[in-house]
Amino acid sequence: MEEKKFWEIPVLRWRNLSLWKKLYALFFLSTGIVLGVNLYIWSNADKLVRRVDSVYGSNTGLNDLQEKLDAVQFQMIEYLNTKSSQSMEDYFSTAQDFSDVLEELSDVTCNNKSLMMEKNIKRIAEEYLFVADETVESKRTRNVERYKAKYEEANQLYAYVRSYLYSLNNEQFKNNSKQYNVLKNTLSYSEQMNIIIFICLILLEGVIVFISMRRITSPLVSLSKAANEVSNGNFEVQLPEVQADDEVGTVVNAFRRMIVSIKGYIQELTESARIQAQLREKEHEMENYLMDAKLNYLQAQIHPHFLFNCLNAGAQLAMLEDAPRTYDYIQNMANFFRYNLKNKSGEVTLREELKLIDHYIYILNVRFAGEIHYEKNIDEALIDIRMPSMVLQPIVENSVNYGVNDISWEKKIEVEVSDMDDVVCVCIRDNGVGIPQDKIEQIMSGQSTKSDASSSNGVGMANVISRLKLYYHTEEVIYINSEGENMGTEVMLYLPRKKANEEDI
Amino acid sequence: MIQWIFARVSSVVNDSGLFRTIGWKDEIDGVDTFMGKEYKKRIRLLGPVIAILTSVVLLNFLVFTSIKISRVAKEDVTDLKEFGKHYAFICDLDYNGEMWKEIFEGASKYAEKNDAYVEWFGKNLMEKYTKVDLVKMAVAAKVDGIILQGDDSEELVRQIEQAKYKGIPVVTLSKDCFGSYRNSFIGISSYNLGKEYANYLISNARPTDKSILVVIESELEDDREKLIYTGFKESMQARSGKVYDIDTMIVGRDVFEVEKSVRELLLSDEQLPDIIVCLDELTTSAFSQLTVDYNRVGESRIIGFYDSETCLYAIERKILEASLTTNANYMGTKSIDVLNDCAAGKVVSEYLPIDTQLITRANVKSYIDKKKYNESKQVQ
Repeated sequence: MEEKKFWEIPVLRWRNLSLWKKLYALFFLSTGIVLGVNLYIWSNADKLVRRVDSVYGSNTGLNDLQEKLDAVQFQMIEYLNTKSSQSMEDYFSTAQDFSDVLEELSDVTCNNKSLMMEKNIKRIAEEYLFVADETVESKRTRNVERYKAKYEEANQLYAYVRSYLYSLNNEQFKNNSKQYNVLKNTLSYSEQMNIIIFICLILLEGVIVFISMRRITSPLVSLSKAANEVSNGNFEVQLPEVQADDEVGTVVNAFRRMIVSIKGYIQELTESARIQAQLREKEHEMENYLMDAKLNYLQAQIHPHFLFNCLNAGAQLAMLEDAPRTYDYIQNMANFFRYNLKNKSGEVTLREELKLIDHYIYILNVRFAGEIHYEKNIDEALIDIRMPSMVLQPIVENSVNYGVNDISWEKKIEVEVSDMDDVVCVCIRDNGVGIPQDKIEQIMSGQSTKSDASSSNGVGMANVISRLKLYYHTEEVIYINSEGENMGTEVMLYLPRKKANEEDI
Repeated sequence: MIQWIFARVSSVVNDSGLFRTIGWKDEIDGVDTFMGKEYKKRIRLLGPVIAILTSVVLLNFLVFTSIKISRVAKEDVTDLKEFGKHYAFICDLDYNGEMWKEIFEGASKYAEKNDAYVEWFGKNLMEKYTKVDLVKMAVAAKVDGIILQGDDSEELVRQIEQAKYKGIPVVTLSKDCFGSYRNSFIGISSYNLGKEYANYLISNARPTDKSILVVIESELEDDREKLIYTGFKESMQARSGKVYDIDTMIVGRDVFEVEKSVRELLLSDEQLPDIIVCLDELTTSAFSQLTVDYNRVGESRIIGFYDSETCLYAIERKILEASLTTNANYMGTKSIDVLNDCAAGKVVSEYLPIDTQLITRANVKSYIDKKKYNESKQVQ
């Protein structure tokens, strides 16, 4: 088995996904991309907004610090003026607040100008608080000289801190303004980039959806075209190549199988119709032959019913006159002529055919004063098979007329029915003049002979042979054999136990 | 609608022969058709190619935007370097000369290598403070050392005492602060500087030279000025063997005062002295510029102080005859060494003399080249 490349596995998995899963995947993919890019843009915008927020945050912080410093100074002066416990409490409270805020200032020595200013503010402010505390303490202890010196010192430090705060505020404001401009420009740039990103995104989404939908729908489009072609009768249509194991693949495969099946059915139907047509043609031909035989037979009999009635009247007369042989003769004649009328379907049993021969030989023997020695060697178990009518009698008639009619020796006609596997062999043998080989071939090829035209019943050998071949659908149904002149003739019929068309059906 | 647009676009593109131009076959089975098999094959490839290209462009835009925004959004704390010590550099903020900038730069660079940061105190403040105030601030800010442009004011002496009390070492530069508790003084010996001026004039004496004007900042109350003048006068009298009419002109400490005084001198109808001796950078610069402005170049031999750019070009253009200078950068580095030694508890010299150099037209070129080299290094 060929080993698949690493990238072929996900491609195959994707192809084999069902249609709804593919559509879901496509939906989630496109939504995911849009969502991801949106989140990304939002995150960038958020960063900028936060930065903008923080830009002037430092100024706000310094203003707060200054307010607290002013509050401390105010409370200190308030206490120095009023010396009330409330003002002292307020002083300590504001001093604590200020001290807390100071803790947030940077105290590291570094190469950043603003941070160094913060450090100085913190240190000077701490010193200010210390001196302010000493001033308050001196006032409390009524140490006027010290209080005065400390008050001046505190005022000076307060001025320094204010100056530092003011300067740092300005410095930071300048920096922040610069940064704000940079941020503003970046925001504007970001907006422009976002538009470009969205255009790219829309293009990408469009292409992805276009490719995916095309891949999903193109087999369906091809299939619909193919279905149109098929509906117009073109079964040789080229179906789309199925690479996926999805619903479309299933439909295409089913459609392909359907086309193959329809083609098979049509071929079978065509063949069956052809066979049936052939059968009908043969049947029709056979009916023609039979009709022809019947016509010939009937032509030879004028008003058969009238003739039977006459013969029956004759038989009754013979009976009344006590002439049994006459009666038998007339009875046999009546049976002989009635035979054809009885079998309108053209199909009889071998037994009936043999019976007809019996009647015929009897009539002939009456006519020829019993010259013809008729022998039968019949297996009774075989003679119920069905066969075309008026087959044996013409053969026997031919044997009598052209075989034994003019011979000087004893005239013999022998009928033998024997079993030969699938066929019943009926052999009609005479010891007459025999038939030359070329004549046999002529008869077997179905050409009419003079004898056919002059046969007593009008049913010649050609008719018999043709009917047998048509009936049994085989050429191997009749053989004529003659050893030579005056060596007699042997006609062999190989009657299949089952009729050929029965087998077909 | 879409089909109509597609059909229109197809026909326009087909008519334009674009696909013929780029090698696309537009004739299938002898029939001119835009939607041929070749086209379909190509369009099948076109989709993924566009998708990949768009993805690449999209990713580029996303990454590029993100990097730019992250850079802008980030707090400006790049190259933040912390130091172990914090020294305050304090000089007269009204003084705009180059010498103190050079001293500060020398000190600052050297300190950086020695885990210390030198802050020019008061320079970032909106309000201008005196050296006394700045020393007070530095003391209140609990710096680790003070580099101070000294003077003899009592207030400064008191503040140095305060610093000493708080354990903050103080180094005075250029001018000493007599009577203070400063740890060390780094500078030129004022008396010797006066002698150097005199030596130059004696060795380059001209028979026509009779009057000498020494330009000083203030009345001879300032020790430095007094000592320089004394050294100069004594040397001239003792070694020249000639009697000169030596006079002084007080110009003040402020740049405007200096320029005003010099302008008045140059605009007066009186004859200018034969020799003018400037004892500081400011007066040297003022004479260099104003003698040109008032077309009095060459009327006096002007001897200046320091190697500022103005001074050097003035020497090159024969506006100044010579200038005495000192190594300001070295003063800066030396002050850091002293403060570091003080912090380490080592004993430091109270006085660290700095040599003077004479700049004349013979060697001014090398000073100008050195200046240019230093400037280009700073730009880099």
